[in-house]
Amino acid sequence: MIVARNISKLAGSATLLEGINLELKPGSITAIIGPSGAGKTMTLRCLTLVDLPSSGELSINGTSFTFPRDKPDTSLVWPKLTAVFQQLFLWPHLTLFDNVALPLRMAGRSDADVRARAMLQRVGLADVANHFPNEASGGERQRAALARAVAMEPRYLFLDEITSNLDVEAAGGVLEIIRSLKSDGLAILIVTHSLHFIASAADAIVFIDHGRIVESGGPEILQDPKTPRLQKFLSVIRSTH
Amino acid sequence: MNIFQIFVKYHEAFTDGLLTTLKLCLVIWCSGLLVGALVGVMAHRRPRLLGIPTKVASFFMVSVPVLVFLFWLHFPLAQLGVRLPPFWSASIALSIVNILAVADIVRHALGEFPQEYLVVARISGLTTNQALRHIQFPLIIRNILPSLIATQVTMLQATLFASFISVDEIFRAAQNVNARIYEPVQIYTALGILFLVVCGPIQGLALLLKRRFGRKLAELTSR
Repeated sequence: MIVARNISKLAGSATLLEGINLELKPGSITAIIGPSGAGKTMTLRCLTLVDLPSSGELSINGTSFTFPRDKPDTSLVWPKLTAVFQQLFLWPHLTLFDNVALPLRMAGRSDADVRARAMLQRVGLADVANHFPNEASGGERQRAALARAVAMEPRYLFLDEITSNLDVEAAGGVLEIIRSLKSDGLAILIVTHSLHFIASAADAIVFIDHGRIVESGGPEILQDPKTPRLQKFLSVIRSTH
Repeated sequence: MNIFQIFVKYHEAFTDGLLTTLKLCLVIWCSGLLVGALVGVMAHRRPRLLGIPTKVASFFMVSVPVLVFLFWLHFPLAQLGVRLPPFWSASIALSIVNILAVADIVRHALGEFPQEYLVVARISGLTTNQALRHIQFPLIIRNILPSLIATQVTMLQATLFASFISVDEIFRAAQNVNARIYEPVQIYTALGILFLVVCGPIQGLALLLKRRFGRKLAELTSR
């Protein structure tokens, strides 16, 4: 389980995040929504320790870190906690297969290639496994990045707007995979604008604006938002989709 | 005399000149690529201590013609009593030019490298060393290889300037032949053909690598 308490992030005099409290439970999907620049990605980066919070406490699998005092040894946290970023960052000199297989090989797994092939099969990329990222479509890249992250058998998966550049069909395919990962027992935190996916798959929803959690709850907050800010945000999203 | 006849009659002079040019190149290429890469990495890691001085030096080298730099290194040293053989004066001067050019390419490539590729490698479980070896190093090499090769071709052509301080390289050999038979068009065309034979394949390799890696790394360079 991941528990974040009072996480804040400062950059110079600017407050990027303030008092973020979150819990991620195994076999659950938590969705973060909010307008651009609200702090969604920074929340994800802080919770994954890619950026260290300026203050607050973070407990990952029972190991607690207090910021700014602690400098976590990320090698003990990653890749059991892993992430797929919006721009994916598939390694362009490697094929999709090698993108998935490399971390497994580096971890010394004897079944690296077999597992990489199985992961690509699972996300429907068996036929394009030998393509380079620049030869793959947007949807194929998203699924390859997902396969790379999941291949290492993480317990916590953070996804940052990974369907934002996809058409409805391709996004649907990716979201279906995420749903299946939840049933595998992963704790998933996803930053997304897909209200349909959130409504059907998320167990918890967190609405962030100006670096703060404005409202949080179950999927019902999409139908019955309590705060005017979330009401306004949802009406804008619905009018543009 | 046509070009072929000139080649046949003066093949010894051309061969000697070409060998000297290639020897000069070997020194310039090796020192430039090895020391230049090292300086580039250090300049990236220590931007204040080394990065700024190498930037200033590169700016200086780009602004001052190579020939002038060669004269600066060769003649004042001779006046100070330091008499270096012309071959070594040219080697040192052109090596400095190459070292700075290579360092600039390496420093720039390291500075522009998207760190997120390494973040993703680390979060995927790779150690820092594994990420450097399997992600950063191959990507940077692919990215800079075409410009490194193009720079080495430019350096090969810059060796012609060594003739001005009496290095018996290929251009001087051509000049000597011309002094004997005065057939400048044929002789310098022969020289051009020789350079085409040597530089053409290298330049072709640079283009090939650029085309091959350029497409694969489009994602990398567009950031």
